[in-house]
Amino acid sequence: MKKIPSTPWVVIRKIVQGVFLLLFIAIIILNQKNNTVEGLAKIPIQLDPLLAFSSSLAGKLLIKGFVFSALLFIFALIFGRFWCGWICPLGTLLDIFRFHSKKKIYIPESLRIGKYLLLGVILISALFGFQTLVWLDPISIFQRLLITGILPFIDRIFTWLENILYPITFLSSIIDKADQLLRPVFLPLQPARFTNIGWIITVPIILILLNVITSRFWCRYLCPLGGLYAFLSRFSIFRRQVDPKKCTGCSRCTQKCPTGTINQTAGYRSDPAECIMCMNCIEACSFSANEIKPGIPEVIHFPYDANRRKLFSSFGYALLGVAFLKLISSSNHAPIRPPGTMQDSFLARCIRCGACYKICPTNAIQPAPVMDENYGSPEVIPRIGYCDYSCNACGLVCPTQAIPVLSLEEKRKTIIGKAIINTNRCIAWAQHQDCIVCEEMCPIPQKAIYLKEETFLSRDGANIRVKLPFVDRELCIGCGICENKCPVVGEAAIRVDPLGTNGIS
Amino acid sequence: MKNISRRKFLTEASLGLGAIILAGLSGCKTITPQPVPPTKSINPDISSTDTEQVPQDTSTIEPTPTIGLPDLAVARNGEPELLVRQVIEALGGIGQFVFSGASVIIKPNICVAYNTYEYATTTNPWVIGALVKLCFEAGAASVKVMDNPFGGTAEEAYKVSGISDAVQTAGGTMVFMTDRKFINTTIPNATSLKKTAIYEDILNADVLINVPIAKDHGLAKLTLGMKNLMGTIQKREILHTKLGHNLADLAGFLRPELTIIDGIRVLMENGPTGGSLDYVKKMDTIIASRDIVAADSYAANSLFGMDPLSLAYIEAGVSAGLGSADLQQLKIEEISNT
Repeated sequence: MKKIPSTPWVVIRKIVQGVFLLLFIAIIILNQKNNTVEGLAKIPIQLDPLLAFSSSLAGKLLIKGFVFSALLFIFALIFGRFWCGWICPLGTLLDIFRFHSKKKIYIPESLRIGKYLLLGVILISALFGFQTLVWLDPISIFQRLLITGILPFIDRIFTWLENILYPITFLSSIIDKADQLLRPVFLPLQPARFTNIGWIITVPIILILLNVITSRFWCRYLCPLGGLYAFLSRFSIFRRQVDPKKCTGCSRCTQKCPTGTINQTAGYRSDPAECIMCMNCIEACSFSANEIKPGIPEVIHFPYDANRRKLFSSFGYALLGVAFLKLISSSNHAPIRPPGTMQDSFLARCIRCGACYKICPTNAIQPAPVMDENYGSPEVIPRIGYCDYSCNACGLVCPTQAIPVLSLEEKRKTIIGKAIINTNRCIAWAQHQDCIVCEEMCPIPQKAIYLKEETFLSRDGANIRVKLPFVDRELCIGCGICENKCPVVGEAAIRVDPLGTNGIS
Repeated sequence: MKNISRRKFLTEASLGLGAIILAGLSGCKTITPQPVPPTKSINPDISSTDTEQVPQDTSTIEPTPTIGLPDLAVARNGEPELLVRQVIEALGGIGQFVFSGASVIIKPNICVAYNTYEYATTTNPWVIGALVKLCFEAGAASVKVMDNPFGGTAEEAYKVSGISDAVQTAGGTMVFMTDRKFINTTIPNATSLKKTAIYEDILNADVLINVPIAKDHGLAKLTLGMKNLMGTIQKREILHTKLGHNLADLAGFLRPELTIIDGIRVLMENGPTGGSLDYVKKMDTIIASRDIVAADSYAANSLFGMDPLSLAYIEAGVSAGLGSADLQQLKIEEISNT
C-alpha cells in the first residue's frame, strides 16, 4: 500500500546527479589545448569553497574565479548539504558503487568528527602557507583520478583495440575515420601516460572499498569539503522535519538514509549537518511524515559537533603535520616546474588538481613522486615530454595561479631550467659521429645549442671531422626538447637541470 | 525482472573478457600487419611474381611523352599560386602526374608549430593550396596532406602554418599521422637505410608530391626535397648518422612523382626551426622537377649559391643513380614574371 509521491524527488535527484557527473567528466575531457573554452576547465575547482578558502589563505591572494564557490557557500546556507547529495561527482561515484550488505558494522557516531578535524587541519595548515593536504578535497580526488587514471586507461584500451582490428581490411577505413573524428577533439593525438600515480588511483579505490563498511563512509566521516558544508548546514533554512503526528515509527526512512543520520531513538529526527538532502526518506515514507521545508535553525548539539576544544586539537594536529611533512621533505628532489612558477609560493598555491597535467599537449607535466611535500604537484619530465615552444596552456588552466598566466611571447622567454650535455654519452662527443638532433630541435631562434666542427684522430690515424653540440647557457630556457629527442637509448646525453641547481637562479 | 547475482555477473563477465582477449590474440597471429604494397614501386616483401599487382602498376606509370619537356622548371616573382601553375604547366601540365581517380598525397614541410608562414619554417600555405586545386582539376579522387611535426602537436602545427586552412579551402584533407599506420618496410638495394617504418598512406598513394621549403640546416646544410622525405618515416632521429646515404635510400624507395621546392620565403640561417624574420629572405621562387636530385641541386645553387655536390645527400643521390646534379646538362625552363 505504498503511496505514490506527488513529486518523484529521488528520480529527479538521480537525474541531476547523473547530469552533473557527466558535466564534470565532459569539462575534464574537453580540457585540451585548442578545444576548451577559456576558463571552462577551472570551473569544477572554482565551485569548491574549501579550495577557495585554503588557496586564498595559503597563497595570500584572492582569485576572481572562486566567486562560483561563494554562490555554493550561500546555497549551503539555504539548502544545506545539497552539494553532497546532488552535485558532488565523488559522492555520485560513491552512490553508484553502493554495496547492499546485510551485516551492519557498528561505527561510533563520534567518528563523524573526522571530517571537521581534516577540515581544520587543512585550513590551519593553509594559514601557514602549506597546502599539501588539499589533495583530500573530493573534486580534486575525482579530477586527478579521471585525468591520470581513467581517461588514459580508456584511451589505451581503445587504441589497443584499434591496433588489433586495424589489419582487418574492411575495418581499417572505419577505424581511420573514427580515429580522425575522435582525435584530437576528445582524445589527445597520442594516448597520455603518467608516472607516479599509484596514490592517485589508490585513494579513490580505498574510498569505494570503505563504502562496503557503510554507504557514503567518506561523506559521513572523512570528507573535508563535506565538513565545511556540514558546518554551514547547521544554519541552513531548508531542513528535514518529521511530523510526529503522522510518523508511525516504521523506520523505513532510517533504512533508506545514506548517511545514517535518522535516529530511531530520538523521534526519527536527523542532524541537518549530516543530511545530504537526498530525499530518500521523503519517498520512503508512506505517511508523508518526512518533509523538507524551511524551518527555524534550532541548535541541537551532537556529540561529534565541532567545538572550540576540537578546533584547538586540529590546530595542534595541523602544526604536527606541517612539521612532520617539512621534516621528511629533506629529499634532494628538485622538480622542473612549469613555466613562470615562483619557487617560494608555488607549493602554497598548487592544489594538485591535475588540470595542468591534462592540458599539457606533450605530456611533459607529470605528478611529482611521493617522496616529499612536492608530491602530486606538477613536474616537467623532459624524457616523457618537452615544454612546447608554441604552448602556454598550463598557466591558462591553473585555477589558483600557481602557474601564472603568460602570453606566448613571455612564455618563450621564461626559463624553467638549463640544458647540460653529458659528453660521455653524446654520440658526437663520445663516438665521434655526427648527430646534431639537439641542435636541430632547439626552438630558440638564435639556437641555444650550437655546433662546432672538431677534428679527431681515428684508430688508424685518419682525420674525422665531427660537429659537436654546445649549450649556450645564456639563451637556453630549459624547454627540454633536446633531452626528449636525444636518440641515445636510456638516459639522454643532454639533460635539463631545474632552476635552483648548478647556480641557476 | 530477474536479478543477476554478483557472482554470476563476475563469472560471465570474465568469460566474456577472456573470449575477447583470445579473439584478439588469435587475430594478432593470423593477421600480421603485412606491409601494404606500394603501387608505384616494387615492394620487397611481396614476390615479384605476384600478378595481382601488375594491373595497378601499369595504371600509375607516368604518361610517356616527356620528350621535349624540360627536366626542371622554375618560376620567379609572382603570387605563389601563379608560380605553381606556371612550373606545372612548363613540365607538361598536372595531367602528367595526376590521373583521373588518383589518390594523391602532398607532403609539405610542417616541422614545428612555432611560427607562422612568414618565418619560413613551414611550406607556404598558398603553394600547397594551389597544388590541391590543381590535383582536383586533374580529377584526383582524394588529396591528402600530411606531415609528422617534431615540435608541438600536429594539430597545432597544421593550424599555425596556415596549411590546414589553405588545404580545407581547396577541398583537400589534412591527415594526422598515427603510430599504428607506420609499416615496417624493407628497402631493397639500400646502402644504409635497410629497414624503416614508413607511413601506410604514403606507401599506398598513387601519386606522391613532395613540397619542401628551402631552409638552412645544421647537419645537412640545407633541407630540400630529399630531406623533406624524413617526415614520412617514424624514427627520424636515428637517420642523422650517415644522413646522406639514408636519405638517398629513402628517396630511391619512395620516388615522389614530383618535387616542388618552395622558395617564396627562404630560411637562410638557424634552420630548420628559425623563428626570426632576420633569417628570412623573400625570393619568390618555385622550382619543380620530376627528378628530386635535380630539384635539390638547382635550389642549392640558385637560392643559396652552393655547390650541389657539397651536400652529402645530393652526392649520395647522384651516386645511387636517382637523378642528376649536373645543372649544365639539365634542360631547364625559367619563367620570370617581371
